Amino acid sequence: MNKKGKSALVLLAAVMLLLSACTSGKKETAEESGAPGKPPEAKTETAIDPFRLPELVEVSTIKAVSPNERIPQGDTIEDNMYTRHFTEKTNVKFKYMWYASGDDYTQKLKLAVASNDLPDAMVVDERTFLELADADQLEDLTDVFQTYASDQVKQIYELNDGLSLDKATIDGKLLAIPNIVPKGDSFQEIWVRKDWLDKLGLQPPKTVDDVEKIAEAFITRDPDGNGKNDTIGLPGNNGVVTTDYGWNYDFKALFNAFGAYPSIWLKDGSGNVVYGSTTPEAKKALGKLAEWYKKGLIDKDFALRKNPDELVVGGKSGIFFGPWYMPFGTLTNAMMSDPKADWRAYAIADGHGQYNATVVPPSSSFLVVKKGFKHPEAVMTYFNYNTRFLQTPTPDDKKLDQTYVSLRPIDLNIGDPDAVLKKHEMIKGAIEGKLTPDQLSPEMQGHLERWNKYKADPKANIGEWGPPYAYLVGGQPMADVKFNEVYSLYTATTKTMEKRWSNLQKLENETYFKIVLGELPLDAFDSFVADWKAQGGEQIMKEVQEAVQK
Amino acid sequence: MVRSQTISAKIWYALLIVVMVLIALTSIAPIVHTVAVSFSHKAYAAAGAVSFWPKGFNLYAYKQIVADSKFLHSFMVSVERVLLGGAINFLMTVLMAYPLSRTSEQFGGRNAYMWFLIFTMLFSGGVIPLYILVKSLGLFDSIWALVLPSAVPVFNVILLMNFFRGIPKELNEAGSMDGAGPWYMLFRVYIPLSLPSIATVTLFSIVGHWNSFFDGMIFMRSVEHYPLQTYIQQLVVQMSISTMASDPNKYELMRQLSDQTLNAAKIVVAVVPVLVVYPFLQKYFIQGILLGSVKE
Amino acid sequence: MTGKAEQTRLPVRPQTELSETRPGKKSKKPFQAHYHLMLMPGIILLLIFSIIPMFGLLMAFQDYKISKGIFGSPWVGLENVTYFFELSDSKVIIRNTLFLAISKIVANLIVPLVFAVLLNEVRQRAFKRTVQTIVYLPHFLSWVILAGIFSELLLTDGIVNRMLEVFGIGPIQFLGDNRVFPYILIGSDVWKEFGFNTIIYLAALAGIDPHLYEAASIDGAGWRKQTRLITLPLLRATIILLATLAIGNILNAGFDQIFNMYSPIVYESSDVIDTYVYRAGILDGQYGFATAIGLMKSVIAFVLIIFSYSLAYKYANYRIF
Repeated sequence: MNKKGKSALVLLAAVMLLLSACTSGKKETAEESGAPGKPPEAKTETAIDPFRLPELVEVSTIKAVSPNERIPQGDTIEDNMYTRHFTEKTNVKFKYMWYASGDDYTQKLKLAVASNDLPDAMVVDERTFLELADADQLEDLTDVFQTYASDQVKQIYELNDGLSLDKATIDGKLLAIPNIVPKGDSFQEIWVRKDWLDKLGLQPPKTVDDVEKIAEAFITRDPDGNGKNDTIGLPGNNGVVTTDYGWNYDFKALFNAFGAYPSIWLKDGSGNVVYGSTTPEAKKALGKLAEWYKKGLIDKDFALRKNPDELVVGGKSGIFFGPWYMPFGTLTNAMMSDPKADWRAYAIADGHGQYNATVVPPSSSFLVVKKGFKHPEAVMTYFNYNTRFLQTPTPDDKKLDQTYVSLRPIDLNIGDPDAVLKKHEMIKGAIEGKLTPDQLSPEMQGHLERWNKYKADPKANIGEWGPPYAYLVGGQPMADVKFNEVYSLYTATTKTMEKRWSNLQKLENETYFKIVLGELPLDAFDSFVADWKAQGGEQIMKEVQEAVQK
Repeated sequence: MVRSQTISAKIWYALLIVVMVLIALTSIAPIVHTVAVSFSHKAYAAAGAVSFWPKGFNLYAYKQIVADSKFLHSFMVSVERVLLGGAINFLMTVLMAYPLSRTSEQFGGRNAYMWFLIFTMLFSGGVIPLYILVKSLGLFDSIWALVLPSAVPVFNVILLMNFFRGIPKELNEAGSMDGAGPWYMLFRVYIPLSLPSIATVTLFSIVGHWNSFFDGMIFMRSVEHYPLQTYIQQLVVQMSISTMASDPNKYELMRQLSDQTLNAAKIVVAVVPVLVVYPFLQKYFIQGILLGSVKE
Repeated sequence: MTGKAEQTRLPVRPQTELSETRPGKKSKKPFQAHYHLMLMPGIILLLIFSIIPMFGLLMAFQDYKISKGIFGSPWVGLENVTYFFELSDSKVIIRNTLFLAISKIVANLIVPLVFAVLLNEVRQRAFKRTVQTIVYLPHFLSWVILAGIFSELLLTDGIVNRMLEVFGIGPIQFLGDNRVFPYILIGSDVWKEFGFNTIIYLAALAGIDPHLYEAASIDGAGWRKQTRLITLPLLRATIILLATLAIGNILNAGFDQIFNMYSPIVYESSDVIDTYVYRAGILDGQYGFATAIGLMKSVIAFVLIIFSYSLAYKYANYRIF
């Protein structure tokens, strides 16, 4: 392990110690998992137990579930081992007004918000949060947080310098409990089939030019060795050319490698606020993409293909841009159809050897409480317990079957923003024998078990491969290189944005696609920038400038 | 027709049959594809390698469905909805079509009612007020929320009204002379004479009820009250990545995204009842249509 | 039942609906109360579930804020509508909507008609019934499912292009070419829905007295002549009925289909009012704006219905409502 990794481990150990300290010295019992432990009550006789209410309080909420949610025999979404456990421990009982999955959930939520049909507490995205805050429908949680938040929760929020809490604070009032997005989601990587590289005698990619060469070789030199000219280069995302998030198959990493940061607000050389999608660097990156597309290095149909996963799963593409968590779904399927594939993830440097990345917003989900709800402290209490459950579970907590962990009433994660890297180090350390399993967090112990199960019989347990592999290999670039983290100066919505933004985004998206596909020449970018400004962009830029200077 | 049995007519006829067969084939191709996917191995399905024949044949998806109590439950909700909704639609359709088929001389308020119907057909307050209304009526999670808002199928009323108007006046006059009131005329004369038309509009409303998913999604709070199409919709519509980005469970969700074989199997199971029932209905149609044709 | 039908057999009089009882028996209108009573349940339900929610239309003239509700949000008059026309996209969107909707309406009238007339020629009853059943099948599948399948088939490396390759054609960017894509939308819509109207046409065809054909046949009229002189005129009422009812859809270009099949590169040829409103209204929470565009659509549709109604009455002497 390199030096950096080791120091990170030390840091990790320190953090874990710190965290366990605030669970009132229960660490000893915590490690004797399996022993019939008593419910951990706060040792000190303070007036407030952050993990339990004195009386049972009922809180209505809504829940997003997976369509194929796994539920233990005899249990239901409303009443199961997790809901019972949490109610028993915290005296907070959640009642679901409704639950739904995916887009259904989103639509139902939007309708409920528009019709003012809200539960006592729920988790919403940033846009909805701001909408509700603007509508003055949220309970001020400032005092509740001060009084009831556990030390552990408070400490975790300090880990990202209060950025998350800032985001949830409007006009000096804390109107939500925000999640903390792992920074690891920001670093879009290039996933490559190492077995194909080896076969063609190529080196792993480090720069944009390397990606180009590899994609070319993968297309022309029959890497799968089936004698057929049936491999393609890079898949793309059909919805967007690039995002600030770095989703599956979009070209964020390439833009970042050109020093371009689309979709966010940043300062240009002279200190003025600019919109990242309209910069000269973005034009250069687009030029490169158009060139690639023309050469056939990008899937000819990428803008139309509903399910680009098929290319990767079907063994047609051995190189693509994506986040660290690709192995969770897509690559698991790919391994099922070709278990010999050796997927690796790399970071791409810009011309100066620097690794740039637009950092995802510190928070994307917000736990809000309806204005006028009598027991906001119940939500805080549950959240304290939930956080402890995830970070430093008690022996009782550990008895619950991890398979059903998503059945908890409200799932909002806070944790170290660098969690992906740290989890990478844990699982890597354990696999390399540098750490023993009990030095791992419970979550990572689970992933380690999965890994061992997979290794024992790869064929039968291919389904276990994804999560540990994501941390192990997807997390690797974060350990290998130091990213130049670029933050957006402004993530809220200005007055003019309310009305004009969707239209401007449409213009941007359409133009980007057309330039890449060669339907518009690269120089159309300049008229796009002019149009963008004329249709409200200029005004929005001013508003953002003002907001940033405030 | 007897005379026209020339050779060219025979060729023409053969060609006709071939064209009909081809058109029929393109119509069932997607269903065949879906059936093939439902019997295929997950990995082949995810790789898009399945066309019209299963690859890596297995029954995994169907075993899952049989074990899925929610699916069967939704199925029953849909059956209930079709029966109740279909009955209400039928009643409303005949009750409204009859008076509206009178001329404005016979029934003074007729035109006003008619325009009222047209107005409600074209204008809608949108989904938010309807949501608030259904909520304040306390109909969330109730089967009535699925059948009452669509209780009056205006389109069907117009169709049936036109059919009623085609029924000879003389018949009506004869009835009047016998002292038969409108209720007698409707149930004893008009309905029996209009069975084909009634069967057609009833099929429309049954299909409408069977296929609609949006109302189930917004008015049903718990999944156990979802009608089948709503239940399937939420499984089949792939969660967009943007939805996932704000989802705290996104990593776990990713693992469950592309179970295409299971989804395909669920579609197949949802379409099968229609495939089974429809030919019977159709048979009844044709009988009804032949009966009706005598009247002119 | 057959007996009753036989009893009522009368000389062929298509469009009996025109024969209003002109000789004035106006003095006495029996059963008025009964007619009102029959309409009552339906009218009440419509009042509750259609009319009451229409208070939501007020949002069209507001800058609707959820906090303030419909009765507290600021009034903005027609600003929402004028804003729509200010957008550089509005012309494109209206053009696309009209083009796609009208093409679909026309195609969905003609294709099923041709198909029904042809299918009606088939003498094997079982075959006829089977085909009729099968072509109606796609109607039962949702666009979400079908769009997924179509998108697969029509890619440049999809089955269709691979077949065209054999003939040395293509590859054609069916889904990515603005010149082609609208026709893909129209074609796939017709493919999905033509079975529906076919049923109505076949029902009408079945209603034509076979003696008429026999007579024509004896007079030496060929199939084409029979179709022109007997079939089409007798189907006229059905065609006009379907056409007039379809006019109400003139601004409905098919949200589900387009939404599931389009992509940013074909926005310029396929973005329609409904998809636009969905993105701006539902996704972005601009409720007032979305309602205003929806209301504008309804008003135009209403005007068109009245227009087509009077046209049908004036020129075809046909009353639909």
